[in-house]
Amino acid sequence: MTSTSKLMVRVALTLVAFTVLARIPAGFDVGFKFDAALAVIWAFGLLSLVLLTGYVGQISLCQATFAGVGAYGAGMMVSSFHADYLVAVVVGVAAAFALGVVVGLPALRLRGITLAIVTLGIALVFDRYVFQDHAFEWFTGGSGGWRVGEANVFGLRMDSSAHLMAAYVVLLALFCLVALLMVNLHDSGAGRRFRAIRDSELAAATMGVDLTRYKLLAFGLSAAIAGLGGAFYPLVAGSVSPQPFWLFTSLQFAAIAVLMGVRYVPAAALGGVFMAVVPDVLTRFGHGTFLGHQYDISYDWFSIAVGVLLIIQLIVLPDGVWGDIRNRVHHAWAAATAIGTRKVKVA
Amino acid sequence: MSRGFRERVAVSLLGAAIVMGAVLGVMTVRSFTQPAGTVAVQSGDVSGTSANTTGASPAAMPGAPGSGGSSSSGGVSGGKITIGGFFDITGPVDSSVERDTVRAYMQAVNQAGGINGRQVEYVWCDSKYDASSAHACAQYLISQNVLAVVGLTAPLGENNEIQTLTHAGIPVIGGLGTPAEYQDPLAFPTSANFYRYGTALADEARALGVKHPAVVVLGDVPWVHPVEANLLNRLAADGISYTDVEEVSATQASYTATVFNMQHSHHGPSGGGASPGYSCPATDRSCPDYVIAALDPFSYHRLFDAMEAANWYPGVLGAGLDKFNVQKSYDGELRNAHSLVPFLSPYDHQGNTTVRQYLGTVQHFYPGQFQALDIYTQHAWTAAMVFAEAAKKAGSNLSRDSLVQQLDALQGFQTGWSVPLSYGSGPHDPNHCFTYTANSGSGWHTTSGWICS
Amino acid sequence: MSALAAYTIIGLSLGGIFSLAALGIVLIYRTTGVLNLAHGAMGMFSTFVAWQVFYGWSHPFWPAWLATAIALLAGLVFAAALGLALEFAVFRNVRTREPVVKAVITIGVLLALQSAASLIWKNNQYHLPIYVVPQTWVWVMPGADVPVGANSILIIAVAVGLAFGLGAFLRYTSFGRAMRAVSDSPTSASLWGVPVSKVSAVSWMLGSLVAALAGILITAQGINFDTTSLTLLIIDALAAALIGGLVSLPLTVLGGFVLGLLETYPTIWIQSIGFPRLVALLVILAVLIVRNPRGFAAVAAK
Repeated sequence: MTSTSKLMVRVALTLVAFTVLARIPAGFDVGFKFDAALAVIWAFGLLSLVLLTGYVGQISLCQATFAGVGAYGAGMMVSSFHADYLVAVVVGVAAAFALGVVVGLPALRLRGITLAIVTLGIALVFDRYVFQDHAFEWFTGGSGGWRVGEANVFGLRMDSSAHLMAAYVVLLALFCLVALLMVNLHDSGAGRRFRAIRDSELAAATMGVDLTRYKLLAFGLSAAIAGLGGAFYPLVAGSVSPQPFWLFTSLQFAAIAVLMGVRYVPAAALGGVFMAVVPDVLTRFGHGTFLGHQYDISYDWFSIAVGVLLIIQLIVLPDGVWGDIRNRVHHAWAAATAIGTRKVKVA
Repeated sequence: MSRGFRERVAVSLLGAAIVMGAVLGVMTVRSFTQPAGTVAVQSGDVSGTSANTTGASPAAMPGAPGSGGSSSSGGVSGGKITIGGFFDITGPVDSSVERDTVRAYMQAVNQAGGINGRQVEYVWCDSKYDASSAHACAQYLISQNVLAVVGLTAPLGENNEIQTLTHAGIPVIGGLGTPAEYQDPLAFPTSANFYRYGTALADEARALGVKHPAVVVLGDVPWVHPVEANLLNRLAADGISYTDVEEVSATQASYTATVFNMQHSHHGPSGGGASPGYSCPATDRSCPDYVIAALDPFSYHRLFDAMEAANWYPGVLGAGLDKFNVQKSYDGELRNAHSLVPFLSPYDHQGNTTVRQYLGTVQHFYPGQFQALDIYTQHAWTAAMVFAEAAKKAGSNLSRDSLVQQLDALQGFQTGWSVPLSYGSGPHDPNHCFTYTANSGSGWHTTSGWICS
Repeated sequence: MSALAAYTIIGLSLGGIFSLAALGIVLIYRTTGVLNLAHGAMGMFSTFVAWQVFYGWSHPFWPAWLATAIALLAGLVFAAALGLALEFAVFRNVRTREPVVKAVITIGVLLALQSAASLIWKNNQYHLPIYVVPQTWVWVMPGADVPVGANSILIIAVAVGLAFGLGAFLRYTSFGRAMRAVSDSPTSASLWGVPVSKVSAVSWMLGSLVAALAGILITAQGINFDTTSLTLLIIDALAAALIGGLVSLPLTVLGGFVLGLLETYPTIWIQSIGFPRLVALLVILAVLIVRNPRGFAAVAAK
C-alpha cells in the first residue's frame, strides 16, 4: 500500500470510529455519559504512554501527574483568570508540555529502573505536595479545587451535567485526531527516530539521531497529550481535585497500557474504556446474593482483576491484549493474501 | 509470539479462573474477618441499590440504560420512596456508619409498614474523600431521581455539592453543618453550623478558665479555614491569648512533631484569624494549659498518643471526641477532656427515648457499626427523623414540592435529644445549641444544659 | 538548641522507618534482580494478618505478650507463605526478562494485594497497630524534651541488626553467594549447579519476611494503619536504597537516617503537608545524577 492510500484508509477508519462512538452514550443517562467522557480522558493518558513507552521506550510512572497539571492549569485559567475554555485548554496543555520537558531532563542520563524511580518520585511529589499544599493554592485553587460551571467551546455549550454529551463529542473528536496523528507519526521520519531510540540508543546515536532533542520532545509531547485529556477534566467533572491524578492512577496507566499493548494506539482507546466503564458496569450490576452471602462488587474487585490480569499477561502475552489480537489478524490477513493459492495454515 | 487457538482459549480461561478464585477467596476470608452482621441485610430491603465510585477515577455510576424516563416523579412511585445520600467511605475518613445509621432508621420504618404504606429505598454513593467523586455522586443521585437526600456525610465534598443537588430541585436534609447548608432554601440542616462550633469552643474555653491554649485544626478540609479564623478571633475577643496554631492533615500519621510544636512554638494561622498572643516561658511545663483541637475522630487518637508519649496531659477541648471504637484506644490519655455535642450524649442519657431507639436500631440492623457511632451519626439519625416526619405529613400526595412544604412547615419539632427544631421558608438554621460533656478518665458526663448562641 | 535536638530525634525515628523499609527493597533487588514496588503492599498484607490474629482471633484470657507473640508469628509465617506463593506463581516465570518488565509486574502484585486487603478488612473498625513492645515504654531524652518510644528504638535496632546480619549472610555464606549469583544471571548460575528455583524461592520468602517485620514495626511507630500508607513509603525507601547504591545494606540504613533528618529539619520553618516528599525526590535526583550506583551498571546499559 502506498503511503497516501494508507493515510486515506486510516482517515476513513478514524471517521467511522468517531461516528459510531459518538452516538453510543446518547441513549444513556448522565452517569454513563460521564463514564464515556472519562474514558476518553483516560485514553489520552494511555495514549501518552503509547508514545513515550511504546514508541520511544522510555518508562514513565507519572503520566497521571501530567494530566493533573493540565487539569489544574485549565481550571486555574477559567476560575482565576476567567478565560475562554479553549484558551484554558491550551494553557493546560502548554503547562503539561513544559513539565514533560523538565521531567525528560533526568531521562537523558537515566533509563529503565532508575527512570521509573524518578518518575515515581515526581508522581508522589506532585500528588502529595504540589497538588495539596498551601504554597500552590494559586495553581490548585485550595483544597476544594477549582470549580468549573459551563463553557463554550467551538460554539457548543457544554458542562458537567445537562450538556455533557457535547463535551464528550469534542473530546472524542480530539482523541481521534491525536490518535490519527500518532499513527502517522509512527511511520514518519520522527517516528523512525523515536523507534530507533527505543530499540537501541547507542545505535541511534551512531546513526545521527539527536538523542537529547528527541527524548525531550518525546517527553514533552507525551505530557502534552496526557495534559490535553486532563484539561477537559474540570469541565466534565465540575471540579478538580488531587485524587484522580494521584500515584495509583499513574500506576494504573502503566498497568493497563501494558495489559492492552503499549505499542498500539487502539490499545489506548480500549484501555480507556476498560478503566472508566468496566468498573462502573460491574458496580452497577454486581450486587445480589450468592450462596447465601450478600455481595457488592466494588472497585476493589476490579483492581484485583487488573493486577492479576497484568501478571498473567506479562508472563504469557508480552504484546498485550490488543497486540495479540492485531498480530493474529495480520497473520491471518497475510496468510489469506499470500502469493499463490495455497491455503496456509495459520499457526 | 503466536499461539494456537486452543492455547489462547486455555490461557483466557485460566486467567478468568484465577480472577474468580481470587474473588471467591477474598469473599470467604472476608466472611471470617468481618464482625457479624455487616454483610447481610435481610429485612426492610433498604440496601437496594448501592453505587461505589471507582477507586482512582471518580467515574459516576451508570444508571440503567434509558432510565431517564423513570416511572416516578421525583423519587416516589406507587409503593416505593427512593431517597439517597453520598458518603466519604474510601479514604482517610470512613463515614459508612452514617450511611448505615440512616439505613437502619429506614429499615425500621419499613418494618413498621413504611411511610404511609410506602417502603423506603436508600441509594448511596461513595465519594471517597474527593471533591470530583462527590460531584459524580451528586450527579448519580440526581440521575436516580431521588425524592430527597437524607443524612449525607462527606467532609471534603458535601459543601460544594449542596447546590448541585438543590439546583436539580432535590431537598437536602441533614449533613455535617458545612456553610452551604445554611444558605439554601432547599437545604435543611439538623445541627449547628460549624462556624458556631468555633464560637462555642472559644466561649467554653473562657468558661473553663483556660488561660493559654494551643490550637490544632484540620487544615486540608476547605471550609475549615473560616471556622478556624472564627475560633481564633473569638478567643482573642474572649481575652484568651493562645500560643500556637498547628494545622494538620487528616492523613497525618505522627503527631510527635505537632505536640512538640504545641509545647514550644509560635506558629500562626495560615487561614486567617487573630495571631498567637502569648509565648510560653521555656521553663513552664504547665503552659500551654489546654489544647483546643478541632479534628476528626481518628486524628484525636493519634494526637492523644503523641501527648501520652510526651507525658503531657493538658486539658483537651474539642468536638466529637466520643466515637466509641476510637475512644477505646484513648484510655489513660483522657485526663481532662471536654467535648462539644449538638445532641444529648448517649453515654449518660441511656433512658432517653430517642437515644434508646437510636442505639437499639443500629445494634439490630448493623451490629458491626455500633462501635463507630458518634455525634455525626446523631446528625444522620436526626435527619432521618425529620425526613420521616415531613414525609408522613405530606400524605399520599408525596412529591418533592409537598415534602419541602412540610419541611418548611415544621415548627418546634421534638427530636427528643436536641432543642426543638423549627424551619420555615428560606435558608434554615434551626439548631444553635450545644451541651458540654467532660471526661476525666471514667467516661463522658454531660456538664451543662443547652448553651445556645 | 532544644528545638534542633528535638527535631534530630524525631528525624532519626523517622529515619529508622525508612531504613527498615529500604532494607527489604535492597535485599530483594540484590537477590532476585526485581525492584519490588509491591514491597510495602506485601508488608501491609502480612501486618493485617497479624492484626487479625491479635485483635480478631486471640483469646481474651491470653496475656498480652502471648497474644503479641502469636500474632507476630502468624504474620511472619503468612509472609513466608506469601513470598513463596508469589515466587512460584509470578516471578519464577519472568526470571529472564528485563528489569523493567519485572518492575511492572510488581505493579500488578501491588494492585492485587492492596485491593484484596481493602476488601477483606475494610470496615469501620479503626485499626490499632500491634505494639511489639508496650507503647507506654517511652524515654525522654534529657535536654531535647522529646519522647522516644521503645518501638522507635526497636526499629532502629532491628534495621541496624538486619543490615549487618543480612549483609554478612549474603557475602560470607555459600547460600548467600548462591542468591547473588542467581540474581546476576540465572542461566549462568544454573550452569554452575546452583539450584535456581530453590534459591529464588528462599530469596522471596526472606524478602517477604523482612517486609512483614518492617510493616508490623512501622505501623506501631505511627504510620497510618491502612491499605495504602506502607506503599506510599516507597519513595522514601527508594531514596534511602539509592543512597546505599542498591547494593550495600549498611549504607542503605545510613541513607535512611540521613533522609529522615533531611525531611524533618525543614519542618522547623515550613509547616507543610507534602514538603518532605519533595526532599526525598531531590535526594533521589541528586544521588542518581551525581553517582551512577554500581548496582545499576547492568541496568543502565539496557
